[in-house]
Amino acid sequence: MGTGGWDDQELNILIHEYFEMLKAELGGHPYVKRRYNERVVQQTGRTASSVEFKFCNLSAALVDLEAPYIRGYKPRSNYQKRLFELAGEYIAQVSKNDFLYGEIDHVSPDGRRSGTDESARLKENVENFQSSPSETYTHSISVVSSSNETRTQESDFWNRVSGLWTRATGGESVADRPEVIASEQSINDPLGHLEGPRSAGLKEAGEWFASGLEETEVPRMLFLIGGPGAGKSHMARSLTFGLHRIAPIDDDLAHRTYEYSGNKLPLKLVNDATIPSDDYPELALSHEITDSLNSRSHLIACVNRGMLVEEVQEYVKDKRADSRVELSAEIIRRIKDPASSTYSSGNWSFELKGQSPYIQSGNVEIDGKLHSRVVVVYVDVCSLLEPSPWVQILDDGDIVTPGYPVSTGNKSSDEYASSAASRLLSAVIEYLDMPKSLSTEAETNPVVANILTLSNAQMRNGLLAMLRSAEIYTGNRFTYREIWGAIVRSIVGHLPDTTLPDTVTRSAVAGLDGGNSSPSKKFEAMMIAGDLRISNSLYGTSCMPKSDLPDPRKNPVTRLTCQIDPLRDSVAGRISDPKTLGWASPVTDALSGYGPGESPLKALAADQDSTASDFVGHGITSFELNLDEAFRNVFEDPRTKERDRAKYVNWYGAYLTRLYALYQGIPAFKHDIELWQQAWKNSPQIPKALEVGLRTLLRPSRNPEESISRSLLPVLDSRTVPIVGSVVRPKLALATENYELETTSHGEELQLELKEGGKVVGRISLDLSLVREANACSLNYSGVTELSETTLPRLERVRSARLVPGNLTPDKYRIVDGNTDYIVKVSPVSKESLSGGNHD
Amino acid sequence: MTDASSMILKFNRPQYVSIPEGFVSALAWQCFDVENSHLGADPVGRIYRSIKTSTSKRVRILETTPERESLSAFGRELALNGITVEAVDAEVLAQAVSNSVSGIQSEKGTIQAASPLTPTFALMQDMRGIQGTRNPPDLGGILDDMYQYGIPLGSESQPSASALWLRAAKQRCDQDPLLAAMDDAIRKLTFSDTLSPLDPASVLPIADFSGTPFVWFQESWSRLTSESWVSALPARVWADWATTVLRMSFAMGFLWEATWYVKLAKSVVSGDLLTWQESIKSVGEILPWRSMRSSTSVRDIAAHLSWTVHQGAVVREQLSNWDKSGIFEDLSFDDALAMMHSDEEYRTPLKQALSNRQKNTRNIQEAIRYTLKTRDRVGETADYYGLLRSSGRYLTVDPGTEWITVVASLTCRRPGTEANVGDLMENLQLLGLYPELADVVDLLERAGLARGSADADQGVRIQSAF
Repeated sequence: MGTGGWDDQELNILIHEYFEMLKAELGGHPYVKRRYNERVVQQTGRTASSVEFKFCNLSAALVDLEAPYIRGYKPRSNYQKRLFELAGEYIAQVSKNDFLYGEIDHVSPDGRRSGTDESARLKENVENFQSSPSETYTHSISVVSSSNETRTQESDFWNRVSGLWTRATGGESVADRPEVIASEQSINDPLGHLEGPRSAGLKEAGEWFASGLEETEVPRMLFLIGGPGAGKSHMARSLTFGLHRIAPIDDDLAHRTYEYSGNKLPLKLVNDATIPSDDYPELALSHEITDSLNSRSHLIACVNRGMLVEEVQEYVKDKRADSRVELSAEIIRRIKDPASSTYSSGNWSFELKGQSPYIQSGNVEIDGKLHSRVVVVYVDVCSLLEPSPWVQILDDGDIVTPGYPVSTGNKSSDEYASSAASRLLSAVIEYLDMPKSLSTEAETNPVVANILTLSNAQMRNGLLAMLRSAEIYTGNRFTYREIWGAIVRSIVGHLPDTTLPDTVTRSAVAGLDGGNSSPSKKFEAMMIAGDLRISNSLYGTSCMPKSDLPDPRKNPVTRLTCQIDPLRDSVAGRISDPKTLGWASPVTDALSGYGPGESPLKALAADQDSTASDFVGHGITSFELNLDEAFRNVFEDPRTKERDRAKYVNWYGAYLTRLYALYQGIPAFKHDIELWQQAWKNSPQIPKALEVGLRTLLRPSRNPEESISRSLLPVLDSRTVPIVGSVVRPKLALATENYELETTSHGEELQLELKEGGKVVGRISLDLSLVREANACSLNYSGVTELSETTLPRLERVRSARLVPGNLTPDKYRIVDGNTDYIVKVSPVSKESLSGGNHD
Repeated sequence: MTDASSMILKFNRPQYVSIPEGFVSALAWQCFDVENSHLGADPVGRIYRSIKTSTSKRVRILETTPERESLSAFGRELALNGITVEAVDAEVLAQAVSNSVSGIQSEKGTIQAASPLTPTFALMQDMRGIQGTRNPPDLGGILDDMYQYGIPLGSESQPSASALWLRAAKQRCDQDPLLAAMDDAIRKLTFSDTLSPLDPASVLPIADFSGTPFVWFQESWSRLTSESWVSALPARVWADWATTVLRMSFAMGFLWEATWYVKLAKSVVSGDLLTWQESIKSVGEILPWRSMRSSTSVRDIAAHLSWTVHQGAVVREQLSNWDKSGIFEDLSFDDALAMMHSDEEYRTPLKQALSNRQKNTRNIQEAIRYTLKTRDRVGETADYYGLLRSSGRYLTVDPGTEWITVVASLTCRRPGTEANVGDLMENLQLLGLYPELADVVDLLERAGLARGSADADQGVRIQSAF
């Protein structure tokens, strides 16, 4: 794959294709830019997006060469010097006349070119172009006037926006046909060339595998494990690109496996393990691995965990497989449950080294000699919103990598920028390349406003922070496909759910009809448009109490993000005041006591908290200015009914709150999320701020007012609720002593362990629900949240683990009566009893 | 070849059990007998505590909780069995023990049971005392029968459900000196020498009922009463889990039975005659579990439950009558179906049974419905082990957090081990439940037993709760 500066060969290829397009354009012939791009990709191995960029560089070079350029490739200066030189050479080589007219005109019987009116006009343009001073033209020759160019640019832009529909709920079905070349696929998928960064370890694993294709002795096996939309098939596609397919025949259908001749050794691809195998009704994957081992083929296998489980279950139920298939099944078992362990059967052995939760490597050996190298990538372990960990796969197959990183809440700009999601977001914004001429439309067009918003680095960071918070809060991770969906939603809102892509014109999106509408109608129109703004569409719920928006729980993105909607937790306070955990006061203050002639935005700008004025200065667009004015107008309009006024205030307050929160990167339950992140980073230690609450939840003291007070658990109650304070009726209890709290982490999971005397007496998952419950505790008293119904049973379970027979200590029994507890002595008496068995 | 009479399941008809502890107690009373003659001629029913004075004229209700004079005696018995407390009266100790073993009292309940933690505490109440009737259904017998139906065909004889319970309860006492002492003390106080053990007979399989709730009962109960699970769970938790398994088996067993009869009748009427195994398999879903994202009205199962139970009862009655008259004698299942289909004399009544609109199955309806329903949702008496939830006139499948904990953990076979969602889904299918994968994963996550992943599928791991 080409990287780094372009060499002469690559540049010449690029220049040739560019001029082919230019010829077609000047000749008025339709052409598809993608095809030319893909030809360059095929011949140079460069990515499609870098080719696009290079075409734009070439346009700039042509401007400097005073030559025509393609109107769709806006000049981007700061180009490679060699590009300029070679472009000049190319132009010199071809006859200008031939170049410009050869494809256009008919050749009359007498050999003279008889141009059409169009070609005559073009000829005249070129002559004018060539004779005019260089500073007179910075436009493509085929653009007659700047307004035409502007219109074209805007039209192209909206076409690019409508292309986002293909990514609204996910990506293309790459798994369908893995070897479909990029060109063919992206004809139907306008965003296909935007190759996003891969999951942690995936790129390195792909490079490792690709480098192994030159191997003649030791084949390589690459297992890509994870759910749909994580990039497995995308990687498989790139690795098999250009290889000669042997089987099956190209019937335009998706198949489970494909075989290629490879460079030196053959290659088998298990592209979609969910498709049943025609050859192996049982233990299909095991057999396919065995086939690869036997035939010394390379292997790529794209598998989801469900298939691994099914395969292992089949194997466990029916162990009739021969030794080689057994080895393969054991390989699958270890991939499913990674552990540093070796398996051997006969003269075969397999060792998987448990390097990290997201990438592992191993070797298959026969008679002690290396047979195949294996790398396994778990593509959905690492969040795409965290900095991608670096991975190095050494020559001997060992993997060097840091642990999975979960950064704290306040990421630096570099940390944001280094995440896969951030790079994809930047690539999309760059690709859309909104013309400056559209900026003024942001007043009424939420899509334009969204793009402007996302051009602001702090807003981008805010969006990424929200998405990451949604992951942490819900304990789920966005797939690559869902990240796409989130990005699309942040640009065009819920439009893909309700409109067709080719209706996305400016008028369709804005839906505003200025003119003589009343202030109420205007504001309500702005409210509808406001629902498409990034700060609202991100959560899938309107600021209006009743709306027709679809249920956010049904969308793969908003089902997570709706849970961290800042409106759920808009705590009073100011960011600048460290004593409070609140943040929303600037907005509530801006809207309270609102009177005629005032502006909420102005009030915000004047707020004592500099973050508020900063937000007004840098975080809003002309959409908000227009909205603010519309709000003032409707508020001051005497025709506005009181109940409508209240509705408008509520809506606008919610709107500003969300936008402000987005700018600050404040999700709902921010404090809880940050505490969890700290707990994860500090594992096995627990942050003090969290530990106090956890102790209160798990084993509250009998008397919370006392500094030294034991915790007493009812021994036989149905509910293991620790005894706090006085009891009305005496009961049996167990006194528990000091215990330690520690956590263990695996991937993003945190387990909290209670230990007494070094022995684990209870475990509970330390997730956000538990953190929130812990934070709701105050002064050693338990608090209550809306999650208590689900957390209480879990808490009772972990408390009752102390009462398991093996953990009971007879000297700790107590009778609790009123405020007092009394020591109970249990001295077993040896005698026959009903329990002892005179009835056996 | 399965004989025809196997198609009629030989359970007694149930009644609603007003307190969940009644299930374990019913099994306990399969293992013991008590001499009541010294208490008078009237039949005696036992209940731990009665909130309201019983007005039953048919049964003499005996409260077994130590109170007043018997409290001191209980204290003395506890001391004799090695439990003493310093600086306070033995009566306080007795009171504390008595309070500690009290079962949940629901808001509207009029009786309170003792938690069946040990053999004797399980005997503190019986069905006569719980129902307040002279001849209540033999709940213990029903449970033992259901368990037997779940034993795989070809198995050797094995202990009954009640015998397994007794073994587990004894193990509990062996491992916990406090409970052992409490058990001895309450036995001497309450029963003196009037209690005698029965010898529960070993049981053999009846027929092939693979894939039914009876199999789930047999497998889950065998696991729960095994040594490893008894050792892994606190006493009260084990009792709650046991109650949950019994509740589910009881209710889903009867619901399966009703659905079975309806399917049989439809098969005979339509002529789509299946073999025994095929017929069993055709029962499939017995309680619709719609997506949790659907509206309450879509998820409502009240009508389904009502009609299935009713039609099943009518068909059962018809089949039972024929069975008693001997027409199925010496016939195989396949032949019996063919015979009924080919003869109008049998086909017509079955067809009429399927369209019978006069409902008179209130007892069994209530038995199933209230056994599965979550009793109280919040507060100290909150029931986390229910499967159904009522919301106005709707009844939906909405499992409590601990319901999924029990079912998922027992899927793990042994304590401290793992299973996966695929295993759990198979287990749920045994119970006639076919939920969506996403809903099950959601329940597991809320219970803190599993984490979903992007490729959840069947591969989500479940960690046993203990």
